[in-house]
Amino acid sequence: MVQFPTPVEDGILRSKMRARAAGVAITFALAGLAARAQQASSPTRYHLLPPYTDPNFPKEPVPPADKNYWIPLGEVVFINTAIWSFNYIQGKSFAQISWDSLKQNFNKGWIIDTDDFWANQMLHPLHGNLTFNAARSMGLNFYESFGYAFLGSLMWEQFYEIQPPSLNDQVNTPFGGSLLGESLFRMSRLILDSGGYAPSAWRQFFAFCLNPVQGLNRLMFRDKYRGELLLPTSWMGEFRFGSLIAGSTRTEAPGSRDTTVGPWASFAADIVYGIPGDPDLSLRNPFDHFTLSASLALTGDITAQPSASLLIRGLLVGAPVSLGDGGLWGLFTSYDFIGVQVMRMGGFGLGPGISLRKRWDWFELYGTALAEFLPWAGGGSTIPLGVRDYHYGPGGDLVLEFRGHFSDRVIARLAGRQYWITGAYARGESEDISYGQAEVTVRLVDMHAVSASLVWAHRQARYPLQPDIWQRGSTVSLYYTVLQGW
Amino acid sequence: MRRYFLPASIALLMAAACAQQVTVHVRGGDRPPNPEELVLDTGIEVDRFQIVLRNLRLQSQPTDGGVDTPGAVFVGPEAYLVDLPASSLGGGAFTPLLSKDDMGAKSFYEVDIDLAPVSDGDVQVKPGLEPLQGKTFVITGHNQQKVPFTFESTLQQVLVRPSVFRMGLNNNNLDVNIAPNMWFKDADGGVIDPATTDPALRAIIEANVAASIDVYEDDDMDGIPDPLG
Repeated sequence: MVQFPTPVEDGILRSKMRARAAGVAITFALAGLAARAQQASSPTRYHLLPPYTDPNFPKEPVPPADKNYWIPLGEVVFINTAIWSFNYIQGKSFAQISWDSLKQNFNKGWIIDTDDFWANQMLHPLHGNLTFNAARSMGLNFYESFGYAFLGSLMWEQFYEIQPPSLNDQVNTPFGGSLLGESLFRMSRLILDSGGYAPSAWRQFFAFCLNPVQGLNRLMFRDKYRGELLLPTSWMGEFRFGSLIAGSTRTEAPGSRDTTVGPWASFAADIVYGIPGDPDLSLRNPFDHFTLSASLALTGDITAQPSASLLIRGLLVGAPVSLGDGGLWGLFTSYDFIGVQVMRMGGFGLGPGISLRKRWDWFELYGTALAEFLPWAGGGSTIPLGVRDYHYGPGGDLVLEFRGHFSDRVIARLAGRQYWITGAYARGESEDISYGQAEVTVRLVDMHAVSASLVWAHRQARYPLQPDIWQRGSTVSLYYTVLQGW
Repeated sequence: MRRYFLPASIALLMAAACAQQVTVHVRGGDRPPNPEELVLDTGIEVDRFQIVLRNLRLQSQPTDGGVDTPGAVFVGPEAYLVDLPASSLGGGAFTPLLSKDDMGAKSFYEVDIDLAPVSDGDVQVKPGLEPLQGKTFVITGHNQQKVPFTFESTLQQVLVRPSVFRMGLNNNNLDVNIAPNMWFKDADGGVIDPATTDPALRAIIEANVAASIDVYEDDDMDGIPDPLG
């Protein structure tokens, strides 16, 4: 939780705060909107002053902390029913439930399904995000809200599909959904709470877009379950709008082929919430520090396979460390989804990690190292290999990331990930996937910047009776970038 | 309330996944939605059908009739005598064949069954196979002229049936569907007399019998292959 400035500090800051950022909110949708931003005195990293340093910041009245366990339970049922109704009306076969299908679901028991990889690894976490936030936005904490996402998924699997309940869905929905949900909850609160207890209509609108369940609850219950403002002591975000200008893939397998992609429209975001090394950073609750990196590139052709990624990593329990110029370490959890034209990877992970900062005169370096166990992960290609074209199984991953800030002008990012996924749950043998990102952002004026991004991925898959498959994909993208954070 | 959420959820999950069982039933009659009667439109009546099915196994991926996959599971690793009277050969009648426990929540993409004549060794191990000693299957009945016939075969073949089989952690069922209405028809739809001694015509009947055996997942035992959802 933030510490608000004293009246003396208010006086010092008043001269610097005549105009403030138009807001994090607008950057999510309207990149070009001018922000009345004023840079802080520290030049090492581009950042704005936190909104609560403004003496006019409406930080009162703080509503009494309240929470409700029963309303979100009803909302979980409502969310499941609404999603089911939408699919039922559309005539989707999986939604044509009956008493017989309910009975059969219990009789058959849990399976590992053969659904599309995108549905399993992306749509289910999105669903879980909704049920998670039904509870989170009613004053419940991270772990309590996870329970609702878990229960909501259990309900969905047993009652809302004719397909028998899926173990993979029961993992991906609550675990992926809670990690995505907590990230979106905190970002929507960042948008909302940057306006204090009197947020503008725009802030409320964009917070609603980012977290609609929370938005609906605010419409119904106002600030009854809002509690204290939830603003980080530090964060930074890069919001990119541009184009995947070129990309290529190669598959080495029977019937090997090369393809090229682009130019495609492309959107991306990189967020660090609770910056390692920040002396004011408090690590009391899960996700007091988290990172979120997302991208989506696609054409107007709806049948074309998009290129997308969603990489969420949050600190579950941890503590500051005093190595270098500070940082943090602890137990991290992550949910990764990577979809590069010809291959896909997704999984939920848990493991120890450390994130450090080192500052020089005009240069600031952040480094993160992480090793995770993946209880349930999947990887595969887009080349059909039977009904299920992906492996499922436990695995592990290693992450190494560096981000350098050259004065407040240039940000360079280098990240590498290595995943090993067994096929113990489905298909046998294994996956070996590497994923690398190199990005450079140059700030032009105020919060406006341009970025270039190179993504490279490589996959080697082994199958019991088929030859190994090697695949690689790479893309180059250019963006207009909006910088935010404090 | 919050302290009970996770334990309650996990208890529900566990309750829904207790004792796994995979049963296999033989189903007599054409596959729905048009089950045929035993009295065929050919006018031929079948009184009894006996066949030995061996090594019923689920493959973790399609084999195209090749070697077993590393993840293959032998649901029925022995030779099983299927002895069906007329009443079990039509209208979708079910006859239990075998069952297996604890296969895990695996998916499979093919079922293979071996057809081969019963050997002396088979009978020593399993005396119940004696009625088919030296034979793979036997059909008895009456032809169009109401003359009794016995059709014996020493067919040796691997039946390869690609399909999707998703094993749940509770109760699962596979149907081995046998469709007698296919047995005595030639390629043009004409009737083949089961009493024929013509080797070419006998080979067609043998191929028809093999082709009439299908395997699919049918957990609710309504005769219809289960949808993937």
